[in-house]
Amino acid sequence: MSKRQFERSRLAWIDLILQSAAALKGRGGRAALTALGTAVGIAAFVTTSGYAATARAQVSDRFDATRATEVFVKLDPEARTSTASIAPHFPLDAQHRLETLQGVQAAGLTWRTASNATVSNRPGSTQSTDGTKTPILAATPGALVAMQATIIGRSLETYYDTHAERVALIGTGIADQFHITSIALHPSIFLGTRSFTVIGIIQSTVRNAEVLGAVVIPAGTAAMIYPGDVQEPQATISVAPGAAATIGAQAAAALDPFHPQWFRTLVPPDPKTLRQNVEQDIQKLFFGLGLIALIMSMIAIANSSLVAVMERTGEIGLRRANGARRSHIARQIVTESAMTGGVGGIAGASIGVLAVSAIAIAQQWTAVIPPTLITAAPAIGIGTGVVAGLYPAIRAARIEPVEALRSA
Amino acid sequence: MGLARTYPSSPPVEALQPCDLAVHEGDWLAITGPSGSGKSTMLNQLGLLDRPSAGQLLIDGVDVSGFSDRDRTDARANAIGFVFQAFHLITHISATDNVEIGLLYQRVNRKQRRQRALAALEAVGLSHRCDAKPSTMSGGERQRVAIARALVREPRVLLCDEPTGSLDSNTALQILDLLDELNDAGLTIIVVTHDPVVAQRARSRIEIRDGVARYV
Ligand SMILES: Nc1ncnc2c1ncn2[C@@H]1O[C@H](COP(=O)(O)OP(=O)(O)O)[C@@H](O)[C@H]1O
Ligand SMILES: [Mg+2]
Repeated sequence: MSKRQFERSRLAWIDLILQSAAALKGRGGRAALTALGTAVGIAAFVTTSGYAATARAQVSDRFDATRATEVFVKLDPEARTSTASIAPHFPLDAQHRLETLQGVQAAGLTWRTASNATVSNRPGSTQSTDGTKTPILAATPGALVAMQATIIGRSLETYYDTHAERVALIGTGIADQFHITSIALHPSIFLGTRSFTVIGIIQSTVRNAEVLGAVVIPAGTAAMIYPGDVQEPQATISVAPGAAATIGAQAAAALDPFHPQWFRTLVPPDPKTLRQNVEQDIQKLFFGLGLIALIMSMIAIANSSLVAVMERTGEIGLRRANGARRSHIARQIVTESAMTGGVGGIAGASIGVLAVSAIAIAQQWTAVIPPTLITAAPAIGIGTGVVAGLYPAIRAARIEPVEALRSA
Repeated sequence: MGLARTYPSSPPVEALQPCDLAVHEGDWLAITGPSGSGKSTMLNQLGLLDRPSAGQLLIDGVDVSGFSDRDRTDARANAIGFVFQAFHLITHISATDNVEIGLLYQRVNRKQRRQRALAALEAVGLSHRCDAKPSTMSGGERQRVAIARALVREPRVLLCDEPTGSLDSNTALQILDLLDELNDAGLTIIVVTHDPVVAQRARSRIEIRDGVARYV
């Protein structure tokens, strides 16, 4: 005969879980309080992470499509002094040069011109109706496309440009000023003594809102009538989403490969980097808070399960006397605290989701809660419970049946 | 050399001097002696709850004194039922669930376990209290549940440490009657007690004084 005459002790999984559940039920209110601690921890974690995700989504929304798809090029005022021979300027075919760049959807040049001319609805008037100078802009056909101007009537099509036609677009502000409500009757406007036919009214633009208070004439016309009168030239480029940074880097060389230093390119802040910065700050802060809450709940579980182990010394000894191995005892203690953590995790996830939704509603944001967060929450709770249960489990496993059963 | 246990405290306590005894199948043995004499120490040795400092313990001729903690656990689960003075019931689960603990760590499926638990409760006369929780039971009922828990494993030997110590004399007598019945049915019983009334019921007696055991 040998030791094998004795069948091996074992503890089925289902029994392990049922025994642990029964033990937790027996602890009732205290177990619930411990789980509540975990719930608060996990809720803080879910809330902060969910809040971070929600806030991040708002941040990304703010970098709306238009901002991320525009590039402006101006002359660099410092280049003027350093280059003595030729004054920095945009090439005549600036629009065409920019349009050839990969990713450019529309591009055009504008500048202020006709500095001495006053806008009026009578020939030769030197006084504008309200005494302020209405800006007169020259624009290549692509400029209005790049601005995404909404025009009633016609835009400055290439024909007007190449034929230097005396036509003009007026911003909606000017149209109001001169009571021009329709272009059906081909209204005229006077720049100094020259009459221009109004072919369209700019109702709105996505970019370069200043055109709404300006008179815009074809670039070709401006070059013919007001040669050399080029103030504040600027290229407006509308680019494909994501292409802004690349085009910003290429625009200067494309405009004038020999004098790229003449130009200064204005690219909107890269949404990606900006977003990442915001993300990281929020994430770090909130992650830290959630982590602290979790650690605190871990300590709470560890504490309550240690107390429970000490109180249950007799029960543990009894189980040992009935064939439970040290590992069976340890597993039960870990399972109990894992269950506490898991229940806390589920409750915490629910509280967290509610909290994030409440915040989002209050801020009129769209709640964004990563589904992984919700599935992870119980897992995090269980993990917290397992870690918290390790020390109490070791202590429980060390209990000798003899000691435990001493009459008590 | 006889079984002995010395507790390694300072100074060491020779709780059980080397002794020789044999327990046969169907015995009803009482271990008596005053408090602190070493009765529980002896019982813990016989129940494989503790390891001897010296000597051998043979079960069916197998020396279990050198068994590891794990092997002793397995042997306990298979061969020995325990009844303690303090019952050691889990108060918030039903009598049946408590009795099932006796089989929990063995290869018995849940359905069989429940059936055997109910049968054990019936054997101790508690069929009507199956669903009751120990917290609502009298001392005698609790000790019956504890006995049922020890019996459900169908042990080779039932070890009882002061089984009537927490009970009034009337209830104690009922428990002793139950032990008698079980012994009549063939169960080996070893009872540790300082109560002469209990000792009288046994078929054989060992008395321990200051760790020295002798047959009476
Ligand atoms: N773990 C231990 N360490 C040291 N001394 C112990 C230990 N357990 C019991 N003793 C001592 O051994 C002696 C016998 O104890 P015990 O067997 O419990 O006596 P009884 O059950 O007969 O009252 C007592 O003196 C007791 O104090
Ligand atoms: Mg004792």
